[in-house]
Amino acid sequence: MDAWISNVVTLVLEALVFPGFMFMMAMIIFTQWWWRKASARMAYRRGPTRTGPAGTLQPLADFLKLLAKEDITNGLMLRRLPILITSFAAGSIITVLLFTPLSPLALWSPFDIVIVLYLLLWVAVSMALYGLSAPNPYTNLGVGRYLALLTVSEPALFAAFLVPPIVAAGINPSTQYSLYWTIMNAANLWTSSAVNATVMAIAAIAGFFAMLGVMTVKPFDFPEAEGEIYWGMFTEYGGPRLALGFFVLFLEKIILPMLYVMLFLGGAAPFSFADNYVAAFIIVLMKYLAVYTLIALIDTMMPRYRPDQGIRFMIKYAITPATIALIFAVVATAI
Amino acid sequence: MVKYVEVPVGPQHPALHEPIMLRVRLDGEVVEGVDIVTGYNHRGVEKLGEKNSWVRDIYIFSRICGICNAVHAQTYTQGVEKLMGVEPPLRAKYIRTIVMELERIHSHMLINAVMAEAIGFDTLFMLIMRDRERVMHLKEIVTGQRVHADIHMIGGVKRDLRPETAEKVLRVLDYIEARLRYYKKVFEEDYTIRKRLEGVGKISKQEALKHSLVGPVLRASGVPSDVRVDDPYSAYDELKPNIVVRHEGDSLARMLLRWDEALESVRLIRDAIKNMPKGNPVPKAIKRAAGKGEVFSRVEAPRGELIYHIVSTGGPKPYRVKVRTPSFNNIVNSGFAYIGERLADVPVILTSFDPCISCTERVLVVDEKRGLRKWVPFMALSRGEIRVT
Repeated sequence: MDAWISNVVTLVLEALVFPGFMFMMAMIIFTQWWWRKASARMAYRRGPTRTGPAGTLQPLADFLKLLAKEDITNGLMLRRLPILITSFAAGSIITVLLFTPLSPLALWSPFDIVIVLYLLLWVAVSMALYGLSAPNPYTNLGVGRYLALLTVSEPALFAAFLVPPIVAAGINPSTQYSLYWTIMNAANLWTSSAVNATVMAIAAIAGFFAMLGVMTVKPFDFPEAEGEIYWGMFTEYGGPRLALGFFVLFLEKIILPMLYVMLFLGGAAPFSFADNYVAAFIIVLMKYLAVYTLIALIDTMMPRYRPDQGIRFMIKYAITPATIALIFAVVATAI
Repeated sequence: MVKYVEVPVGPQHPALHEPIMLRVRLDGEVVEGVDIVTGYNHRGVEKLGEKNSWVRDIYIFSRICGICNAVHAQTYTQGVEKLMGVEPPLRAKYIRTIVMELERIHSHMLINAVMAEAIGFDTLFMLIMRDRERVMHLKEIVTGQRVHADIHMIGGVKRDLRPETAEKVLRVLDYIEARLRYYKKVFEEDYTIRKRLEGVGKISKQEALKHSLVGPVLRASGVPSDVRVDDPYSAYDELKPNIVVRHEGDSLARMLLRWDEALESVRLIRDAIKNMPKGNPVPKAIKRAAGKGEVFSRVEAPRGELIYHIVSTGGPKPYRVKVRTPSFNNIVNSGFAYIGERLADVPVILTSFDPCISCTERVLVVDEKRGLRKWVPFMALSRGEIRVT
C-alpha cells in the first residue's frame, strides 16, 4: 500500500514538475526563444535581445503579457469550452512523456503506443473545438482547413509512429508494442537488418512530413494563414485565451519532435537511459534541438502551400509511404 | 438555400497594406465572384489642387502616392510646363529620369516583397526590403529625401546632381543589380513560389485590352505598351528604354516582368549618368501663372500609365486637375481575374496587380441598376455624407 501511495505521489510530481508541466514551461520558453533567434538570423534580424540574458526570457514576458490582458469574449462565442478543452489537451500531451524513459518512474504497458497516439490526438480535437467556439467566417475557414489537413497528416503520423514499436516487437517480442521499451531498444531498430532499416527510413521521412502537417508548420500553415484568412482559428482570440491556445500548440512542438527523436533517431544512443540517465537525457535533448532547429529553418525558408496543394503533398509524401512502411513492418514482423 | 459563403477581404486585412474591400463569394474554397469596394481612403486631393497655386500643387499631387511620388510630380509638372510654355534644361530632364527610375526599382522591389509576404515567405520579404533600403538611400542622396523626392520644379529641378553623388549611385547600382538578378532567379526557380503563382489569375491579351488594364499587368499579357517608348518624355527619347513583355499573363509573369523592368531601370540610370549633359538644371526664376488652356499629360509610372488632365482659366491656380492613376484601372476593372481561383489565391492575384489604394479612391457613385450617377461634393464629403440614397 505504501509503495502504491509513493508511486502515485511520484507520478503526480512527474506530471507537475519533471518531465511534466514545469519542465515543459522551461522548454517552451527556451525553444520559442531559439525558434525566434533562428528565424531572425535567416532574415538578417536580431530577434529577441532585451528581456533576460540574450533575450531568453522574451517568450515568458510575452506569455505573461497575454495572461495579464483583459479576457475579452464576444456575445456569440462559447466561453467555457475553449478553456476546458485546451486544458484537457495540455494535460493529455504533457502526460505523454510519462510513457517514455525520460520519466524517472515511467508508465508502460503492452500496446501503450495506442494510448499515446490517443493522447496526442487530443490536441487536434481541442484546437478544432477551440476555433469553432468563436464563430467567425475566418475561424470557420481556418478550422475547415485544419481538419482537412489533419485528415491526411494525422493518419500518416499514426502509421509512421506505429512502425518503430512493430519493428521493435519483431526484434525483441518482450517490448510488447510499448513506447517505453521501443525507445529503450531504439538503436537496434536501424541496425538489426537491412529490411528493418529500410522500413524505418521510409517511416522516418513520412513521419517527419506528417509531423510538419500536424504542427501546421510552413509550408502547411494554411489553417492560420494570416495573409488570407486573418489568423484562422485564432482570429477571435486575444489575451489569456490566446495564451492557452498557444500553450497547447507550443507543447505539441516540443512533444512530437521529442517522440520523433526517441523513436526514429536512435533514442539516447550511444548512451542508454538504464546505464547513464543524465548522458542519455542530454543526448535526447541535443537530438531534439537539432530536429527542432531544422523545423524552425524549414518554417522560415518556405512559403505557404495552398490548402489543396498541401493536402496533395501529404497524400503523396506522407500518408502513402507511411502506409507502405506500416504494411512492410507488419509483414516483416509476421515472417 | 445559400449557394455560397461571402467572405470580406478587407478593408483592414493583413494581406492588404491599404484599405480596400474585396467581397469574395466562395463555393468551398473556390471563388465564384468578387466585388471590389473602394472609398475608405478618399482625401479630396483633386479639389485641394484647385485651391492652391501651381507651385504648391507639385507637392500636393506628389503626395497622392508615397511610393511613386516622383512620377506624379513629373506628370503634373510637365503638363504645367506645357501650359506655361516653359522648357526645362536637358540636364534637369536627365535628373528627373534618374529619380523616376530609382523609384521604379524600389516600387517593383516593394511589390515583389509584398508578394513574398502574401504567400507566407516572410524571410524573402525581409531580404528584399533590406536591399530596397539601399535604393531608398540613393534616392535620399540624389533628391535630399528618402521617400518623397520633391525634386521637380516648374522649369527644372530643385538641386543638381554632384559628380561624387553620381559616382556613389553607380557604385550602389552594381550591388543592386546583383541582388535584382538573384531575386529574379529565386522567383524563377523556387518550387513553392512557382506553385503559388504560376497559372494563377491568368489574363489573356484580349481580356487585358478589353478591361483597359495598364502597365506591367498589360505587358505581362503580351501587349508591348509603355509610355516611355510610345510617347517619350523627360530624357527617355534619348535613353531609349526597352519594353519588357511576357506572354504568360499569370501572376508569376507579372512579378518576373517587374524584376526585368527593374534591371532595365538600372541600365537606364547608368546611361543617364554617363550621358548627362552639362548646364544648370535649377531654374533661376519660377513662373507662377499660366494662361488659358488645357493639357493632357501622361507618364509611365511603376504601376502603368498615369494621366493628368489640367485645365487653366488663367491665373495663379489651376481650374481643374483630373488624375487617372494606373491602379484605378488595374484594381477596379480586374474582378474577372479572381473567378474560378481559390480563396488562397485572392491576395496573390491582388498583389500581382500592385495595388495602390490611395491612387484608386474616387467618389463618383454609379448605380447601374437604377441608372444613378452622382458626384459627391467636397463639403458633403467632409461632413461624411458619402452615400447615395
